Amino acid sequence: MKLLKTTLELLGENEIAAFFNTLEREEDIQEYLKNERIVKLVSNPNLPTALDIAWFSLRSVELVLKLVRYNRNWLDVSRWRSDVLRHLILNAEMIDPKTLAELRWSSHNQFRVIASIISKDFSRVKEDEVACILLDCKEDFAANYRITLKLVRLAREANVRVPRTHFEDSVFVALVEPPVTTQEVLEELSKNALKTAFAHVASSAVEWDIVLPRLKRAYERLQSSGTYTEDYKTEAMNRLLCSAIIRNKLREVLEFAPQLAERYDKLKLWGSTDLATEEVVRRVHKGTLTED
Amino acid sequence: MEKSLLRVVLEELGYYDVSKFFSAIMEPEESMLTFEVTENVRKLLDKLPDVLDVSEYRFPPKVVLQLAKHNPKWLLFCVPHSLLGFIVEHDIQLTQQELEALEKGDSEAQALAQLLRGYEQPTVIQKPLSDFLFYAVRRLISRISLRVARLAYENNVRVMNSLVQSYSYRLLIPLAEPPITTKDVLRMLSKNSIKTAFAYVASPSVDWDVVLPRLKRAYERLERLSYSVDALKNLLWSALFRNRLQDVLTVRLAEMYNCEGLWGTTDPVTEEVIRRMLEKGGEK
Repeated sequence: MKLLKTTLELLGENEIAAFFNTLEREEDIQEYLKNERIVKLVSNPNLPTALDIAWFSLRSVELVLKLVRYNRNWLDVSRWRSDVLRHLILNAEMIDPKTLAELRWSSHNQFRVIASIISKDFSRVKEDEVACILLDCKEDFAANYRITLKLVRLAREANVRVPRTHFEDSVFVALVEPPVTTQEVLEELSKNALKTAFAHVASSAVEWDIVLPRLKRAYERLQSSGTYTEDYKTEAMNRLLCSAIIRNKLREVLEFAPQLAERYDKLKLWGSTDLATEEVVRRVHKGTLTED
Repeated sequence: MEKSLLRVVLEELGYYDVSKFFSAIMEPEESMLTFEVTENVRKLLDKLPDVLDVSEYRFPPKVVLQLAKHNPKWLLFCVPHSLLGFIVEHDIQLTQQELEALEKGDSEAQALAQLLRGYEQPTVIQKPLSDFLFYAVRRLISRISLRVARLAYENNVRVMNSLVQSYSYRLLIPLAEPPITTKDVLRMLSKNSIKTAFAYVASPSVDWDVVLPRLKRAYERLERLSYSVDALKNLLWSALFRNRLQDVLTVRLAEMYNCEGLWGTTDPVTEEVIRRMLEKGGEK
């Protein structure tokens, strides 16, 4: 980069040299983007490729996404693309249509699929590709409930359906086809398969009001019975919490399962549901803390 | 590589002449070093050497020698021993300004300038020139190393005898000061130290005609004992340096000359003898 910057300065292109300097330092480039020649440069698809060849990379997710707006190839110089993907999912509503449009044409299929889900436009992806990428995300973000929940919500809003086989054991069950039914959940509850049942109520094909009293009893059994290990209990609670968030029924569940407010906090799920519900979560959480 | 970055940015900004300049100096094989010296390129030729860090940018000798025609400071942007190799291989004479530019570089560049300038009288060199010379002859291919040694000898560069001996470095035997003499060679031969003796005869102070019959007998002894490649290499090198290869040439040495890629290091008549010897595969 030094030879380029020096050359530009010697040619009298001080502003462009300063732009590259700022880019290298990962500082704010907004001012430079008022210069048409710089915009033309950052829009050139060969520039990120050339920078990539010169071992240049950017750590700042915001900067990468700012540049992607002009040209999707800037993803290539992102040092941690998974961070960009995470940011994209968590801030889906804030991503402008031009950036999404660029991403839908990206050569990186994860970005192509996620941008298609966010923009609800699947013209640039194949049907199987969506399920494959969601499967990757399920594995990559397994420990991050907040991001998984957000992704499931986005996919549900975009009417995405995935084959049941690989997603049954996770919050992605909300997207499976054929859907999990009320009957199945009731059978699972009667067999005391609580973890499975709690996960499966995420499916919108399950009639919430029918299963709710049974869920309540099952939850009480989970808390009072000595037969479940602590790990089983925690996992079952996490699943019930996520399903309730997906179904937008968290307040109803908190009435009989106030411990889920603590799990909500522990799993750093703040921002995963509406503000009114979060206020309830906050109060319940405070209450359980006081009780403790 | 920065070259694609330079190309993309400069062409997008409309500096096609500058882009072509960088392509030429960064891909000399492809472009055959053709670039137009426009006003922009002139600016770069003049000013880049002052603002770029020499340790970060290195170009091939062919490139810096071409650029040095416009600004001698470009010579500093080449690995000094590679530049030396190219200069001796292509018999290039640097100008006064180019030598002065090298003298303003780092210790290796200064050593190169000193080696090329030479001395009025035989002079024993000190560090860092001796370090540079030892390093250069080790790194360069045999054919070029021989030329470097010849140049150093002709330019009155001499190396402390003890230093040459302690490194047992045959390539710099001719430069030893005090020089290795006929007596030294005869002593080695009598001790049956054939390898060392063969290396010593490279010294111009050794009376070749006196030692030649002894060398031949030693060579025959070596044949009976099965060949020692290192000893043969020493003899080949010494004979080449002394310009007496025809006196000692055998099929084995001719084959070694060919294998080591030494073509061009001796006179055409001797090379014709070597060629015939290789074709026939028989003794001279």
